[in-house]
Amino acid sequence: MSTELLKEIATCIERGKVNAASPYPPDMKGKEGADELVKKALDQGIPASEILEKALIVGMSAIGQKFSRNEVFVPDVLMAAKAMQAAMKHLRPFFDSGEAKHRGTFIIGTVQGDLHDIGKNLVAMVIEGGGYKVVDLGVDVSPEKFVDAVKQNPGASVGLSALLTTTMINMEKTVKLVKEAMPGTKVIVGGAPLTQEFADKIGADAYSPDPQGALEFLNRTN
Amino acid sequence: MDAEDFSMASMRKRVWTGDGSQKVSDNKLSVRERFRRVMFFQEVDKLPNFEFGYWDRTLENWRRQGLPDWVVDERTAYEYFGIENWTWLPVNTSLTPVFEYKVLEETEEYITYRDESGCVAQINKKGDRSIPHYLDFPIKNRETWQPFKKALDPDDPRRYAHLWAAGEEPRISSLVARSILRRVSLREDLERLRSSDLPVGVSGGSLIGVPRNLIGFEHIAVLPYEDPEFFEEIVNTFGECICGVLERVLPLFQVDFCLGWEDFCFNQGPVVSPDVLRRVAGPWYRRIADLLVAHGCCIYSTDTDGNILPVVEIFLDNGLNTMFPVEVHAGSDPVLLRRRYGKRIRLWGGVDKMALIKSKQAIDAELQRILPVVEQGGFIPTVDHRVPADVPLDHYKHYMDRKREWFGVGGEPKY
Repeated sequence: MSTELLKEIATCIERGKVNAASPYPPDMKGKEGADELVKKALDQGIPASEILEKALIVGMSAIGQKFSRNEVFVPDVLMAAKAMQAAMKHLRPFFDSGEAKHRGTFIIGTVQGDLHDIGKNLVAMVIEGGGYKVVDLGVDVSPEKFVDAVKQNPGASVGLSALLTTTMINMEKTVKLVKEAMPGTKVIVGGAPLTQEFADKIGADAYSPDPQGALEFLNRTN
Repeated sequence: MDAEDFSMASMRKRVWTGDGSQKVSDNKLSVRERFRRVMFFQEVDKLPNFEFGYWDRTLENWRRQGLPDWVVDERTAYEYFGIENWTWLPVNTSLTPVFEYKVLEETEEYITYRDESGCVAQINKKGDRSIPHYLDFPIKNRETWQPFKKALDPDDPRRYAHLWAAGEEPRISSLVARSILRRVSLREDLERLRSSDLPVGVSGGSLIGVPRNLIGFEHIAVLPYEDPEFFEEIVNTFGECICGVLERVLPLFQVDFCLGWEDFCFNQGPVVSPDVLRRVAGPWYRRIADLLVAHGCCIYSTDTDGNILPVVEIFLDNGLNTMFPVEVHAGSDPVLLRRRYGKRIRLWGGVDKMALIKSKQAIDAELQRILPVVEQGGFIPTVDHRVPADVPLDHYKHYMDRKREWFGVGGEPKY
């Protein structure tokens, strides 16, 4: 019974079915969504950590993999993230009380001089959907601010985003300062102009062209 | 769409091979003729030497690298590098202003302002000022959409203000073409455009890109799922405006191309799903394409940026036959596109900007890579977006020199 319910929740996340009132997706119109089903799961006594691991992460991972393969597009990931947020609303008290735990912490921001946040926001949504606590520092973030955040969140991994070729060079200083301040911190970089070659050159631990790649990197290293 | 023939009996034709080895014909072609011919896969003496432009800081950096003081903007830069240009039919196919531009806050680091569309945005005074960071969007629901709906009236005389003495004429009617023709200023413009040696373009407006700017990226992406009727109403209103304006002006002018602005593709594809694009925007692209063809314009494009692979088929099926700016690093490779779509597809752009940053060897390799596609025709090679500020001036001159040497582009440099 609980397995079926968790599968249903995972489907709601993957397909972006937020709640019963949501008209999307059309073939699930009128049916309960992530909002109602997670509440039902908790009422049935399924632990929050099990809901996270066996339903939410499964659903977000499925949509993330499809996005990587260009089988779905940005709107589909955003709808899945909305369903995830509706589900997390019910689980948050369990994380706050310590009854459920995140897989790790991920600090993310767009580097100094760059005000773009679309790609960064998408990555943050998928990582959060992957079971991580996300500390979003916003845009135009100085290397010092990243360092402060790493000090406040020991063991956290860091994600740096840039859209412009002229601002991606600011990643190098950030990587250097973060690793000096907290050796062993894993840093992943991404953004339209980036390449693996550039990531290697600046000493980042990984580069990913899409959010799922970032999530898989975190899953391997946390 | 490919039936139009621009061949000229008086021209001594030759096959352009791209290796610069052949002589120029007796009758030199104008840039306009070259544009028409190359876009129809016909022989040309030289390729049009077009470019996308520069970010603000690019020219500032180049000045420190030896760019002459008289090169102060894009126009003078084009003169310096020998870049050719086109001209526009001066009509507005999109929103008329809804708000007045207003600076809301200025600090040492940022300027926060509200633009003419009502978007609140911020630019970093010390960083790259070219693309603002949007903080708030004016369209939040059907009520806040109403002023914008009114600003999409194709009869609004401000759309044609550059064609005639604005304000003197009563409201434009369905007989707009006849009333416009009475104006002396228009006749002058008509003559100027008709006799232009430069290609004449008309704006194809925007169906998704401008609405995205008014609604916000994340909201417009999911709007077709959460409120499909509202999304369709917005796209249809923009479409009616574009077609309304084109219907009024195309009978008066011979335009050579139509270029819209969507800017909706990213590395992972479009901001709305391809299914939504095909179903909602596709019929409008088709209607615009049909209007253009009915008036002798067969080159239809829109500025997409990013990875167009998921949407190319939709464009081609609906008469949008020229891809721009074909951003290579994002996945829009001209070699791949031509191999996949043959002469169904025209290309404008397609030179990887990353090569210009890297080295002269990388520039050579990139130009050699696309040379076979350039030689096939239907391809005007330019840098695949504005030239970034970290491209050295020396690399850019090398790129321009190689374009002349290997692609046989026109224009005379002043360096």
